[in-house]
Amino acid sequence: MTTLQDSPASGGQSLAHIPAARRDSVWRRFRRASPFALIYSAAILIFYTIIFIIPFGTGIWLAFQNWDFITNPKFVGLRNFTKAFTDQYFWLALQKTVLFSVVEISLGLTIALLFALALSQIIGKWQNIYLSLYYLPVITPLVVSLYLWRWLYRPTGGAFNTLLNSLGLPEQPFLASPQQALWAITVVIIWAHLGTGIVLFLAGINDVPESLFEAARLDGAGFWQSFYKITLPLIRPVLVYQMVVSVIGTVQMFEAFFLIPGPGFSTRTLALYTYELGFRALNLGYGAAVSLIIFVILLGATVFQLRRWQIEWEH
Amino acid sequence: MQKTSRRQFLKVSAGMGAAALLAACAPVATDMDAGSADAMEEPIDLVVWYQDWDGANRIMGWVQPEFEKDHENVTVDLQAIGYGDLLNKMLPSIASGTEGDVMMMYTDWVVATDITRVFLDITDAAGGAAELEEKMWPAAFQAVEVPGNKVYYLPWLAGIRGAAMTVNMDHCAEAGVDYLNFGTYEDVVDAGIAMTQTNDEGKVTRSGYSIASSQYQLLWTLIWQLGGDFFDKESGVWSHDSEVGAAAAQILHDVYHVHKTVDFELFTNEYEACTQQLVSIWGNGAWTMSVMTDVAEVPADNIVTPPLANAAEYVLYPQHVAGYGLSKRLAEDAPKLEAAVDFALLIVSNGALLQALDFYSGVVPSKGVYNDPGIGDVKYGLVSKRVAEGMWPHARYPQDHVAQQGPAAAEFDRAMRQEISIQEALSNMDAYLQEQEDQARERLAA
Repeated sequence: MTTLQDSPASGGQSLAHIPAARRDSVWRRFRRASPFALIYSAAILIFYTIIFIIPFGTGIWLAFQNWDFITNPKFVGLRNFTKAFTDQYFWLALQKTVLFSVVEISLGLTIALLFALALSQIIGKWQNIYLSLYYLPVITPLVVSLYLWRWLYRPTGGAFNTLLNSLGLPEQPFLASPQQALWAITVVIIWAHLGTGIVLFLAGINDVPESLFEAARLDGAGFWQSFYKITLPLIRPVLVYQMVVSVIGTVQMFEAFFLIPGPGFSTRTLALYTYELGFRALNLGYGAAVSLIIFVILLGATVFQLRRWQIEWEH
Repeated sequence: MQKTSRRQFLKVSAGMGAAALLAACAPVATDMDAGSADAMEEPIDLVVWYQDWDGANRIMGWVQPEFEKDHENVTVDLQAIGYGDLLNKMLPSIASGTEGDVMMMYTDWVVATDITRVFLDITDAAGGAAELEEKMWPAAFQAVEVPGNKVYYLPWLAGIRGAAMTVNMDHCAEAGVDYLNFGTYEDVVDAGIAMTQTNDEGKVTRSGYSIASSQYQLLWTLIWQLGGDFFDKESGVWSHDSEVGAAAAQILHDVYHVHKTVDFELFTNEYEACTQQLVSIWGNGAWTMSVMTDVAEVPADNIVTPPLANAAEYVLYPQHVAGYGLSKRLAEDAPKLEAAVDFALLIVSNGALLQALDFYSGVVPSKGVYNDPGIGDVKYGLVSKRVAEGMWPHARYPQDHVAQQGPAAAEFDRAMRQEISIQEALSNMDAYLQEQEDQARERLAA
């Protein structure tokens, strides 16, 4: 079956750069293409347009307006963007977001990698049993987990403080403290996402050929040497994938900060700030501008990570 | 094929004959009543959006059958929606014309936009503004700036955070506190001191009086009581950062740091702490009394927040009012509009409100329900009457245009925690609120 995708003429070039004769050829091929191919392509294009292109375009338009859903939108030029750079609450939210992301990703991935490494040493059904246990928080609805943790964190009568008390240690305010709340939530999210990291890392580790480890052992390499010289380089695609997905996930994290917030601005991240601007303050234009800034930050971070670690995806 | 017997044939014939006779005896429809007959029989689907809350569900459980008794052609589709979802979807739905016909709302959801474009003007349909204000306390209509003395929502219930206080009756009895005879705000603080418990290290283990959930509302109340103001409705200027503002903030600051009746590290959520009996007096709203009594089994009672001893004027800020608005689409559909108005009026009728006060301890804006002989027969009727009659005459709303007060409240909280000075907090609050106000006014003018 010949489709437009198979055509060498279309590979990586826009139609504008294709010479007229070849463009005719593309058009002829398009006309000759299977109707099913056209229908499938159109369906995807329409779906993508509805769920992404139109909302994204609307978001860009909105970022230049002052609008509250009801009144007539008022064009305000770049004001929403310039405002973000002088808005102390935006910078505070950005600071909280970066702190949360850095700590959650570095701790979360490290712990997941260590657990995966430990599990890789266990063979047979016990590996699956442990894996299932670690994966339980992932399949538990986050809202349920969050309310459970809120109860554990209660300053008076909470499980953790009861435990600390019984050990003769000072009780902690946890979510009631502006200094501790962000870290208390970070722990919850690390716990909730740990299973995903373990599964992916374990799959990567299990894919490393055993012969490489045997050869290393013959050469006198120890466990950690094998880990640094063999395992880590070979699971790099998994690691980078996890990093990219984690950066996006942590920057967009909303439920935790919405449902078990700390006092004042202590846990107000960019995702929460955007929501508040749009749906609570009815300042949709500024909310859209902030969300576009988040998009640019995420895009930059993703491109940087992929280039930094030079991952070439294999399909 | 089955054959028809002679008996069956006779039965069918007799039935058809009787039907024809009845039809012949029926009054002949005239041109005049043909229209109304059509209207009466035209089926109407009325979509009602309301907050998914046990109390509201129970009220609707009474309202719906009561309404359908007189509106046989109307099918009421009750859609219970969680608070956050209702808040998030209401304005976008109205903008896209997909909203419910009758919608529950809170007044602070619509202060930052043009209410005349949110809900239908129901002034005439509801009997006129003057008549409504006769039946209800006028303050309930003043929570949102409405042009031209029009009515765009029917006020329903009010939790009155900060304007009422709830007490743990057991704690008061233990300490011999006569909460029903508090004369001044200072009496409340003194009672709080008497009921506060601490451990050996001086850490508060039970709060005698907590302002954690109501400090922002109390700030506005106290500024007004001290003779000052924080917002000028005409010019749209916010001005917490003033001598009076600082004095009001200092009173609240002292509750934490001088009188020490509450500690920031005692609980994360004051409401939950009340269910744990960790708080003796709180201002989260009069509605909490019934929840404490019926759900948490904490014996509780409500009082109106008393005035400062040196109050220049007894004014109270009751945060917001829950009410019902009608979709603007109904202007094009007279029969549906009539049904929707009837439904909304039934929700705020004495009958429905009496039902509500059997399990809701907040206040209602309707004077009529409190004069109803049945008020003493419902569980929270007399408590609600006492608080409503003590609160509504003193209620005041600033009529600002800031929907999201959160950041200003958070700045104030930082001052209470001594993270920043009171002056800095008041200044930050003004900066934030002013920007929001200016943007809202820009939208309203557009």
